[in-house]
Amino acid sequence: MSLAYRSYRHFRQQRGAAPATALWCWLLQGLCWLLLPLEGPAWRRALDTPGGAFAHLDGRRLRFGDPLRVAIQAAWLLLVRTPAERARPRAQRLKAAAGGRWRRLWQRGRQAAGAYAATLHRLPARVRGSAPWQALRRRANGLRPRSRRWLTAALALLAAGLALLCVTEPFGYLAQFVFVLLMWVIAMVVRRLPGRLSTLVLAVLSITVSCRYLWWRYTATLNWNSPLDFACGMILLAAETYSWLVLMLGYVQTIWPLQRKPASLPADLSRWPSVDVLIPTYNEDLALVRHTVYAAMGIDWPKDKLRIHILDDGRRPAFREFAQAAGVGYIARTDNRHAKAGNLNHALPQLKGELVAIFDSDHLPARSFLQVTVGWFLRDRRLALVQTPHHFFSPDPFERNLGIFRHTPNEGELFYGLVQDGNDLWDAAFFCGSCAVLRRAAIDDIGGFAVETVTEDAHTALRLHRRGWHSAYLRIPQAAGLATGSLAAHVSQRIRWARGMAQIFRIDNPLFGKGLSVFQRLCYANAMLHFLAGLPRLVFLTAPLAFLLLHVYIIYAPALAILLFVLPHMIHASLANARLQGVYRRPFWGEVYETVLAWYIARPTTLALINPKKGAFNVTAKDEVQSQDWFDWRIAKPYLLLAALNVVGLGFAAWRLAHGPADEIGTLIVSSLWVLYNLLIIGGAIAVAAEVRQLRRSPRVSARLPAALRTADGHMHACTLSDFSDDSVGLELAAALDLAPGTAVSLLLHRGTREFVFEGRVQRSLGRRLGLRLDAMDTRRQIDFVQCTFARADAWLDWHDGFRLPSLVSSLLSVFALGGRGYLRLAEHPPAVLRPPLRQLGRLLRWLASFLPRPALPLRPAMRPSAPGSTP
Amino acid sequence: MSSLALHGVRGGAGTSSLLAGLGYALHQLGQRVLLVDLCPENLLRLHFNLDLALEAGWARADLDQRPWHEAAYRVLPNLHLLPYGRVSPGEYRSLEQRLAQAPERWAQRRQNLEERFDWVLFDLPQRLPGHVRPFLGHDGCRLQLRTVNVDPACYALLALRGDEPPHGERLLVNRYDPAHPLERDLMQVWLDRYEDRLVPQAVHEDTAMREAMAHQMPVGHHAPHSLAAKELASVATWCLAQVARRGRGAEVQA
Repeated sequence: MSLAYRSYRHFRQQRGAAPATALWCWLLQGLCWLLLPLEGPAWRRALDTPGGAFAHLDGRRLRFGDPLRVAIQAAWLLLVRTPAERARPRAQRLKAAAGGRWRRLWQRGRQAAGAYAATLHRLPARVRGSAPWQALRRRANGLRPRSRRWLTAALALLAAGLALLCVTEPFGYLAQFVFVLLMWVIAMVVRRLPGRLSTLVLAVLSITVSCRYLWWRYTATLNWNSPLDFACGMILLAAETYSWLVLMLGYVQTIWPLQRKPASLPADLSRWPSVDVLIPTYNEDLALVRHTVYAAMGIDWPKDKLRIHILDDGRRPAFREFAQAAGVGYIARTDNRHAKAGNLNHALPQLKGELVAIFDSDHLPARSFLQVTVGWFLRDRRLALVQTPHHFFSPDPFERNLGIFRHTPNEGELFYGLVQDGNDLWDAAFFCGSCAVLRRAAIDDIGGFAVETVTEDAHTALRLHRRGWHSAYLRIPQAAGLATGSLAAHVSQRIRWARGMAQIFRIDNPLFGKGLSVFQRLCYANAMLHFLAGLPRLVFLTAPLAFLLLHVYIIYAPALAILLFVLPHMIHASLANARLQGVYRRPFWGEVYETVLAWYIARPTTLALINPKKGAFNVTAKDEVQSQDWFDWRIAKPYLLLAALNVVGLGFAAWRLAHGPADEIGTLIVSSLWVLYNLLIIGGAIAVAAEVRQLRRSPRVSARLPAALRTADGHMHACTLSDFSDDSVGLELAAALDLAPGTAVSLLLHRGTREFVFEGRVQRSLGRRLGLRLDAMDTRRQIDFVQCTFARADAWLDWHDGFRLPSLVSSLLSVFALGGRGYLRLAEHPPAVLRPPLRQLGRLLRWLASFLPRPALPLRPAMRPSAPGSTP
Repeated sequence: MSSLALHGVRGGAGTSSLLAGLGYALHQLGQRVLLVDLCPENLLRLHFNLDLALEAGWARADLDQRPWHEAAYRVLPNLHLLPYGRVSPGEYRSLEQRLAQAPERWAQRRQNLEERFDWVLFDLPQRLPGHVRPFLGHDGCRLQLRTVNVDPACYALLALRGDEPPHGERLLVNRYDPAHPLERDLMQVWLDRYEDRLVPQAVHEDTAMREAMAHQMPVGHHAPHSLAAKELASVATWCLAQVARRGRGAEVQA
């Protein structure tokens, strides 16, 4: 904007103003020239900068309110000096000096921290190499077995006595503070040490502190005089006891993962056992099952010892025809009794193989599946089961809706990465329904797959263990499948698992009955207890409200004491679990996963505990499509209710803070913090309910595979296969190629030393990236394509490379940020009734904001040349 | 330091183009390279932008009784080329007789050259045993590769040679096109039968290879992103690894 007369026509034509606006601006312009000294230096400086001061008004249509905006902006520019004009050099100098000092301090601090970490890292090796330690070891090894046993017993007795003392001794505030501080310092030092010993120490510290906490809760925090206080306190205490139990059992389960390696097979092929591959299906798409069959046909195993069978409970003619065309077995039955377990049991008498491999219809086995898993069956004659992880190449609803696919471990990662591996140490790894090999003789021994519950897999494994069979777990993804398509489907799948586990807990409780070792009992019990987490979680989410809304003292203790006991309990549990769970679970994210499910599994598990006979098997939908972003209000409803309750609780907290007695302030603050934490966790659950759209029915799997592209002119271009689905691929070329969409090309892929060519058409081309859709393929081609992509032996091995080990604090903050995002997502998807008024409100706010003055763009300081001759 | 002989199982297998590309690929890996054309057709030079009418070459020099090494050209720093020279059919036949009578002549030259370069690559002709003998067999080049195309003719020629390969010979597959079922099947048979003799990297049929000669360049220079260029680069790496391994083996034996 510069100083010059503007005609009415200028406003109309150049600035696109409406007639009334143009007229009113033209009149105002005249008034300004009459009344204001526009030729003065201040005005000139403000107005003569091109695009600087009024940039937000330039280049758009002139509106009726613009003169007011100009006036506000001009007044603001005249009254407020922009930062650029302030005396800058001195401030800069000061800032730089201070920055330098801080930076130096910071660097020195980091160096010291690095040296400290390195020293601790080397410490175990140095101790092990030192002379006194070697002497001690020699001494210990020289002891007779009998005296060694005595020594161990004496040490254990001493440790038990100490532990008892640590747990039960009542302390004053100061003593308790010193005690937890000491524990914390030990933990902070020990966590830097490598090796299993420090993991054990962290777990022991956590166990001690948590036991002490629970002891204190039972002995010192119940108000026996008020029935309401006592009842609410007991409910919370029961929930806490449950959590404590799961924590302790979790340590037992995961303290020492076995990390079993595959056993090698004999060179003599005739000794390899014969295998039946079973693919049970009920209502899945043929397109989905077809790929599983193709992948299974590519498993590297002697052809005369491998039989593939589709077990079709849907009795669909298309499946029968497909099986015939592909040359695999087809088994169907007349009824659907006992769902999947019944389906498998029906097929068993018709099979002759020594081993049975089971894949859900959407789990594609890698070609190496049997070679990796079967070795252990030959080594251990009593081995009944080898389970491999369930790996998913599409994002589950958590990963998709939170945008964390492939860089944060998903919900199942903890179970398949750590828990099953830990179970394996105690010979308690259990069957998960798919991606597993079982010994036929063992299944016959227990009378077929268990049909009494809706989780036939875990129950079958329990029976196998009861009959003295062994199980093994190999943590190598050797099959991959589709994750659940929507949150609703995910939740219903988990409801089934939870109900099934609760049923087993009732009808065939692993804690009782014969045939199991103590640790097998504990591992099974924990697996089942894990699914009872719904009610306790709901108790934790509402507990602080009891005080805020009803003024009930659920923990009858001063706020300071609560902090001194609760915080160490939580911190040590987090430290130990972060160490144990490592890359398999981001600390605190489990809270969100659990919270989402809590409401939904609370009812079915409770009902199943009361009446285990009820409840049917429901099939999990896998290939759902989300055609647009939307918010699943149905799923989110309970969490919105909980969030609203907690917000009301915060309101009550504010009211009590203003009007309540002064001695309650501490308790109020603690309760409010708890409510805030709950609100953020609930926000995380709400964030998951905002479904992100997923248009592709067949998900894309990212990969890095060498490939080549041949164009019609005979040129071959080396490229990398960056992603694939069942009928299309994405390529990354070394140099951009100008290919119009629709151009016919061929793709060259490898499988071992063999090469295959697939015809396709360019779908999109963007620089060096190229998307191809493959032409319709015959059976042979499809088998080749599946085996070049999904079924490669190494297809899923590098999947975890994107995971990083986050710090506890950053992980906690990320969960909080997630909670905040949940509420933002909520605002983006308001219910239909609220939408029009909210939109109007938004417009009003934006219109008001358009009058606010803006800082001028910093054109002048950058353009002003330094005065000649001036010294710095 | 090392020498490599490339010899087609039959004529027209693409040996000269392959040698030009391989020499360039070795040069790209930082090697000092000399390419020697032993084929009277005298085509190797056309990959390096030498004039079609040019007459100079080692055979021409030999016939004219001039120093043979003066016929060499520097294509790039550390990449040199020794063409055959323009020679009439009668002349190369008499040269063949002379070479057959004095095989030590090229053996001597080869040793001299090997001292001055990291790699000396020889493009060997068909049906001229006198030209070929100094480079094959026990006292021949360090690496001896036979170019094969995946076709029935090569299949038959390889089958006739029996299962026992001549001294240390390796097979380099050229112009492989897996889109043809016949080629795929033949390749599968070879992979089973000649597992240890095949160079692990086959070179695929790629128009860029033919175009490279039309542009008078080796393929790696003409179309660096083409599949053929990438594959030649990995053959070059394989050559380096091969020599390094054999060198170590020799040391161990010593």
